Amino acid sequence: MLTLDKGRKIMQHEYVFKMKKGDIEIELKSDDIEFVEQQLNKWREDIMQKG
Amino acid sequence: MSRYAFTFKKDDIFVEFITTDKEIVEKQFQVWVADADDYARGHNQGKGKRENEKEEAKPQNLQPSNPQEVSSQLTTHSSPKIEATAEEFIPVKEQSPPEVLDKASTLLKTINTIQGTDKANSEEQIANSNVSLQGMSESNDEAIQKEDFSTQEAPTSNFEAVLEQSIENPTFEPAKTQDKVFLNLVHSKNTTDKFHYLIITAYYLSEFEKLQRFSLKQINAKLMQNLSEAIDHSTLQSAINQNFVELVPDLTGVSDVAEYKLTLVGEEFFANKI
Repeated sequence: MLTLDKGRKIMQHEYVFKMKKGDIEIELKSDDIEFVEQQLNKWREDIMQKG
Repeated sequence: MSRYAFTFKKDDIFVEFITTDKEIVEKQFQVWVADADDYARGHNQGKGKRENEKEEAKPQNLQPSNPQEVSSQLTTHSSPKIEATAEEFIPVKEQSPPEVLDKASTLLKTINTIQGTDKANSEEQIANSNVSLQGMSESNDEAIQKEDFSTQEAPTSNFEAVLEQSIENPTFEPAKTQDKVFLNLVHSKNTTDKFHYLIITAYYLSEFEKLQRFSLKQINAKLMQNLSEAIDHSTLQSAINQNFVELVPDLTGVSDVAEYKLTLVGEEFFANKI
């Protein structure tokens, strides 16, 4: 999505992170890439550690 | 603006990442695939089984602006239940589902071509992804599939088999923990009379569990759990008649369960007469 920052149009991306396990489903929407990346990294490690 | 979706599935865990940021989806896709590769290597040592690859592509129907529809699949030979897909959604036109067998490097190339970007880094990324993909070993793997956004697939047949097995061979057993304090109290009175059990249990619930009132059900629950005994209404009525126990009036008018409390006379009976 486009937003204005000091009169200039900048591209602001949207990020949606969804996770589903059994009946449980969670969804995270944000425009904060750092936060979303943190969540992705955290859940990736968590999932991969479960054998 | 194009939208990108990255889905990842392992056992009964399904992860989906949707964004309009191509770079981040590229980055995450590589990281997840690399991790999946590492997991597969460690997980499949000693197994030595092989499965056939299944690779399918399904069309996606979304609402973006570009007329082209690009989809590709990543085939991994990693652990049996890990699937990862990354795709660019472009939309609207329905096309017959092509069967495309591709790897992550081709996907990245395609994305870059469509976007008209010319990044030197993408070449390096492609090379790295090729290396990781070529090293993947074949074992009990399922192919990566594209999933229709409108429908979510049900859990795998493994879950159903496990569920069926657990139904046929139930292993649940209710807890049979006993209250030692209660048992000590009962044994200290050295009685087996049910009327005495009622008074002792009423005293225990009042003084030890700090219940201001209790129901007959609670009395019997305590007795059954520890002594396999139960009190009937006639015994309770006898205690009420002797003023050892009194009925607590239901001021709310909505309670379905009658509740009682031990009177002072009842406490005295417990202390001196049992």
